[in-house]
Amino acid sequence: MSDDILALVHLEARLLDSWRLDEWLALFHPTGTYWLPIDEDSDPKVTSSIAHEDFQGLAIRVEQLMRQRRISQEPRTETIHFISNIDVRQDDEAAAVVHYNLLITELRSGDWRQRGLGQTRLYPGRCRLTLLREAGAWLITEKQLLLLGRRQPVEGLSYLL
Amino acid sequence: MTRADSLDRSADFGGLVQENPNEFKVATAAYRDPEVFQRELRQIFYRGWVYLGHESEVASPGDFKTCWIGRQPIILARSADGALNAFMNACPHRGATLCRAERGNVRSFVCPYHSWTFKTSGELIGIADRGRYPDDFPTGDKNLHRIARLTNFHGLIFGSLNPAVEAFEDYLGPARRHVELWLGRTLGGAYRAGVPHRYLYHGNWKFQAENVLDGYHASSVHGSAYRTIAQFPQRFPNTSSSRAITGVRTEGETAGYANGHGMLGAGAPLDTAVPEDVKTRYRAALTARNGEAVAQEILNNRHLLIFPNVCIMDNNIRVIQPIAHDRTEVYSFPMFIEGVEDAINASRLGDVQARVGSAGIVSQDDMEIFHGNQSALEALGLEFVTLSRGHGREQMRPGGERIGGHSDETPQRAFWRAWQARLTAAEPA
Repeated sequence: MSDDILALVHLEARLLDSWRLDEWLALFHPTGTYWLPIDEDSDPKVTSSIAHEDFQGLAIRVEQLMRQRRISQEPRTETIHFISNIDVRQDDEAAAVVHYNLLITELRSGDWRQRGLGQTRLYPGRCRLTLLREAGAWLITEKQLLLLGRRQPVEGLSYLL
Repeated sequence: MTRADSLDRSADFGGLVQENPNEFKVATAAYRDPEVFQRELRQIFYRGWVYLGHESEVASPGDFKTCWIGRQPIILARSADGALNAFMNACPHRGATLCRAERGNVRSFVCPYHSWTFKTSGELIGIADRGRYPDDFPTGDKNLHRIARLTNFHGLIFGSLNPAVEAFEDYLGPARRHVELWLGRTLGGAYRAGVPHRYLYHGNWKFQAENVLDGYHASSVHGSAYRTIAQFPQRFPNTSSSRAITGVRTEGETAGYANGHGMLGAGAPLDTAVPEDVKTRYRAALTARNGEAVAQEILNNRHLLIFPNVCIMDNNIRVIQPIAHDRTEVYSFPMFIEGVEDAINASRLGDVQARVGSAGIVSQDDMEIFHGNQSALEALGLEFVTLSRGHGREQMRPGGERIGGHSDETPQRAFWRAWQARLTAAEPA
């Protein structure tokens, strides 16, 4: 199992948890995609997803979250990503796919007695990172996160999972 | 939880909406009182027309979906003969829930409890071990309980639990024109409903009903989305971002209708990422069919709320599902146009998802406001909110149509007038 691939999996989660989203975006290849399916067997170009973004679409989300004072992020969401059951499949020097289970825990605090605040929410899911090695560094060409609750109403998803 | 003032009103539910020459007010109890919510279910949801779905969701014989009229569980099904049917999702034998799936395709409905079996048109066709019942056991009343009325208005399926409900076309009244303009986008073809975005908030359903018609909040609540989009002109080449950033819009108009329907019109098309050549061909087809002026009206962005809880929002249909007085779910169905170039439907999918989807850059900011609203309504002394923008300046038209300026609260006032009239009407015996 490749240590630098494992390091990337943990770094990706840590950057999200610590709101270093510009650095998080830089982990993606310029052709990279980010996909939260509703129906994982469908084509995201013709069927709804919770989110399906190319690199620029992700850049738009990062811009809104980091610099444009999104009102649903005041107070800000805090997350902790738990990673387990990691399975790294490396085909050759320059390509790898990592499957792992994620439990994302999420809380907005603020005046926690108000509605929509103060509730810790759980997002279990299966994650698949497809990686490409370029100039000695692994980059993400696809992040697919299959949420357990993907067919049910989602609450307050105004940040990146 | 319930205040003295709302208890006093509970006898007749009058006075919750107050219209004076210089102000239009709605009592905060209308959003926060569980007794008001129960009254709304009985007087609005169970006596009027409620949207159940689009015909394309149950396209083939045996297709079904479960849906709700207020808190009543419904099955919408297409039977073998191609007809649309709507039943209570309850087995007449022992009251088990028949369909636990949200949608699917079946040859017949088989109750999971004792395997009583029903045609997709609702008739009872099988009782397991029938011989143990009396020979003359009455089965005529053991078919699935059909709801009183069902109508298919150009693919939009509405149902009512009230056998005496007025004809749907009469109910829609002059607001019908906005539905027809929206249908005009299909060039005489049909819409197809896509997989919905679903989200929820801990607040009253009427916050969302008011908000889809609110031209006043966008630059405040959605300022971050507009400012962000302005940073990416290559992706949104048609975005007139200056308008979005500088404040309240001045284009377009609002409309309110006698039965509580309301319309927010932008007076311009929605900005989209459709390639220019595709857009030109589509527009030429629209113009050939309708003439230049009507084609432009068809293309203009508009939101039409059909009272009480469905909004035709340009490229999506949004269902506002009340769960409790302080809990609501929102289902936003992208609506694709059959037979047009793929780029048009790709744009519709992408726009609905990115803007008003469950992780969109716009809608989740509205949910944040609704959470804050429901918390703030507990404030003592805040007995009314005011919906007075453009009040007294509306242009009156025949059929009870009222026209206001783009960011006026004309449609919200129409909603609340109809709401108050229904709440105070005598309950049927």
